[in-house]
Amino acid sequence: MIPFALQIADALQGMNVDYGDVRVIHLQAQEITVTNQIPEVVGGSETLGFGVRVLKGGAWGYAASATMDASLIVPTVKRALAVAEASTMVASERDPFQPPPVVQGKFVTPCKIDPFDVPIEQKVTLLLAATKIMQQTKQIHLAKGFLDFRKERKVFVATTGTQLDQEIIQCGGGIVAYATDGNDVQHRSYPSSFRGNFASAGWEFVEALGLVSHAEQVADEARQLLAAPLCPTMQTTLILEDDQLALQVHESIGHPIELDRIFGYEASYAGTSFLRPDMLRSFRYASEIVNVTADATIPGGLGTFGYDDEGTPAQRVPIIRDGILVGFLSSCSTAPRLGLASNGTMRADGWQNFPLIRMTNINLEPGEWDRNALIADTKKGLLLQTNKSWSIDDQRVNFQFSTEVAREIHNGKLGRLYKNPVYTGITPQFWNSCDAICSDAFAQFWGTPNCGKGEPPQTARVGHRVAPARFRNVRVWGAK
Amino acid sequence: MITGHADIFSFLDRIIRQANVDQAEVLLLRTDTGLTRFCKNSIHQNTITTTQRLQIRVAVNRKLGSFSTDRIDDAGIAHAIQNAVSIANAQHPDPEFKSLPSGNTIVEPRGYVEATAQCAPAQRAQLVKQMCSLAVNQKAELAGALSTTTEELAIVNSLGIHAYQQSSLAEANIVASKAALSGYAYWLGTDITALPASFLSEQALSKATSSLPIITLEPGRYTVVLEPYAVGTLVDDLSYVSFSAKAFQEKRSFMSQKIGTRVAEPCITIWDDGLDAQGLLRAFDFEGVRKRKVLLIDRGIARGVVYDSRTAARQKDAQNTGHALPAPNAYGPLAINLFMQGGAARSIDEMVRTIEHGLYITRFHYANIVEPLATVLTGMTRDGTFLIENGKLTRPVRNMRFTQSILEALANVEALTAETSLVEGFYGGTRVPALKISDFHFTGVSELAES
Repeated sequence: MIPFALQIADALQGMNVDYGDVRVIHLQAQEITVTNQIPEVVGGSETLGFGVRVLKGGAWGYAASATMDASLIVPTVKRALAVAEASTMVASERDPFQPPPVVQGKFVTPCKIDPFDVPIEQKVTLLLAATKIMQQTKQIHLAKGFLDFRKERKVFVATTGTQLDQEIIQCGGGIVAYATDGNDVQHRSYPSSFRGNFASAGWEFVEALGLVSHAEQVADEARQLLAAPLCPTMQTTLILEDDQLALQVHESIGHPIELDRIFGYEASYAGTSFLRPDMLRSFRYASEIVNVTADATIPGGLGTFGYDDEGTPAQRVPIIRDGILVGFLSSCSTAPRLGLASNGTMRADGWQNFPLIRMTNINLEPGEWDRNALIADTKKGLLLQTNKSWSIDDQRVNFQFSTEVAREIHNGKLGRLYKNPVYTGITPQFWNSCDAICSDAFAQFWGTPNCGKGEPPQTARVGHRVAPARFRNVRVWGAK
Repeated sequence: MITGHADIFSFLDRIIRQANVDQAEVLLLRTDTGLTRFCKNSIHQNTITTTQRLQIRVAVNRKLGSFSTDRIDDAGIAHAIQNAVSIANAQHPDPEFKSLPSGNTIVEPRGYVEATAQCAPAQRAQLVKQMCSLAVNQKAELAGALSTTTEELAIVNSLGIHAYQQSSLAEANIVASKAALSGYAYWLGTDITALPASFLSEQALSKATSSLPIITLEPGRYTVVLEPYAVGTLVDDLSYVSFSAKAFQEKRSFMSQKIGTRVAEPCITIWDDGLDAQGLLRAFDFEGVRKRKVLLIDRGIARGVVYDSRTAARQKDAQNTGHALPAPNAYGPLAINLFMQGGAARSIDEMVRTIEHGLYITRFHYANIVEPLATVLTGMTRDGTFLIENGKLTRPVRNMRFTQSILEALANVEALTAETSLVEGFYGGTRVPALKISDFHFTGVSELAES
């Protein structure tokens, strides 16, 4: 892959471009879904291709191909150039791209057991066992188990001389039980919904999930929800468990801080942001106990890597400090508009796509609370766990989430279950109502493998390390 | 590069023979996509991508294995076959697997336009320039995307299926913005030369250039007029959670208990038809099975769901309707060529004139199902929401959140336009009219405290 990438870089040098880079990517993936002890999906895939990005006359062009044939190098580079030249026909200003410092580097995900060395049979057997246990609970009519594995080798070469070689290994897994009484259907997931939890790690991550050992409890909770009353309508205190809070951070902090959204690049599709560049270092995003970082360096995170797709090294940068907005996610084209250097968040979904600003690991820094003490300190409220649905407007202001389960908090103690809880809010108001965050002992990494953005739609794999937190005066009701 | 149905069939037949298993299926998908994205009247992303995908599915002693690759040379193909067979051999027998579908040859000549295939980056840029120049004249800004795609899809299996379709697609979306207002336009078709660039730009600009200040309305129940863009969201989401045989069989769809009963107003008829060129033509599904027209809701009565080979085999009275997605997938079959019957209203304006106090909605944003069984959907209005007073659009309205059962909305439909429009679907196009709906439930407003 490296010699092929170097050949392309040579071709770029020969075509008098302002700047050019190439990514050659080989991605292997496995996906397994078992439903009611039937191996419904057992599939593997690989993709190998290259994408060439050129800056010419202050405008970008991009061409990508799945055919790794040396005879196609020059035609593909010429296509990228033709596209760049077409871009200049409708360009109001030159792109202020500032390439990162030249670097030669390697990055490999720390991994004890390569998931592709684990036999398929062992993986399927794990999910057969988990679904069998869930099916043994009364009223469970549907039991599903999921496993996903990826290994991506990515070579990056730029005309500046940067040369990078990365291998990123990721695993994920989860289970879900559906219960029905003939009228209603309720479900519970473990460790989280939408295929479980994900991490940059090896098979050891899946083993540590304990999918089989949690199967009975998951099924029992789904069954209990059938008999639970609908979540009442009220304005109340919420404690969000870490799995739901991860998505709250994702939607109402992670996306609004993307500088390409702020500059309008995504206006027609995913939307823009309520944030403006002039809010940096002055806007009170959240209460003073809230600190958020973007950290692409932390081991295990699904958004962890060595270098982004412009060759900028992975970084840990503050986003919200003591409640004040202090950082955006940026790139080599957006950061210079603010007089800054890129903080390394440009990533593409495969060789096929043009890189965009994507979340890395957007983490809510831990507070000081013990989780039990936090519940004991709450007179009246709800504890919400595990996302069921989400929606947020095109400027990331008005959000609405529903979770699989709510548990009543009354006089500092957990009480009855409620089903179909929904909560809604306005982003800065909500984050300014945060008055307690649990300590590092209760923090967990949650991987979001399905972050959508861009046209054509690209999927990014990002992470959020969070601990449960409390929010005041939130509007809640039960969906029916 | 192998191209055209005869050579591709021959190529895929060789792979089937090479696999040498009980049953085998090979899918080849080739795409060429040119995409131009712009914002603030300037191109910021411009790409050309060529992809090729070979998907091999094998059955060995009722054990299934799948592998896909874009390495379409001898070594890559051998590797893919070996992996698919290895996965199958390592499997437990699938008690629900009866057989891959059988069939014959389908070659669909419609749906391909050479002009779209030949559209060069400069031509796309010229169209974008044409659209943006209108915005510049009105001191407004356009953001959007213009893309052209050509595709060759072929599926061959060991039971006789040989299916091939070459198609083209041109697509444009535009958001026009000026100060706090925005407007939207979208177009989808097979022929780039039919793309009405200036008309789209004007349509989006017309909603963004009101001189009246934006107002905030209280949440509550309103009579609404939904443009086809918004109606498409309702129909697509209803289909996604309700019209797949898999959700039906797993009792996750309201259809599981409602077949033959009234679920919507008698004016509501929804069907799926991949063979109707008024939509985006898809002659066969991703198992190579010819698509059938499926009536989903007929004059308000729940009638049926869509099947693939697996879900059809699970149910005694079911027939495969040709709605498989690419294998392997856990979702099951999906209706991707949806239609809603139009009504009697001669225009959207005619519906607006009947409303004393209500809301006009151009499109929805980030809609997501809250409760699948009750078809409760939430989302935001976007890019053109207006107050209707005494039969006229009077003021732009700040975006609002709705939380609304789709079925309940379809039970409150008071009027439909006769004309239907092809709008963006989950995986293709959806053709729908505009609707007038009473008691549409809004639960929030997008407003910062400081604004």
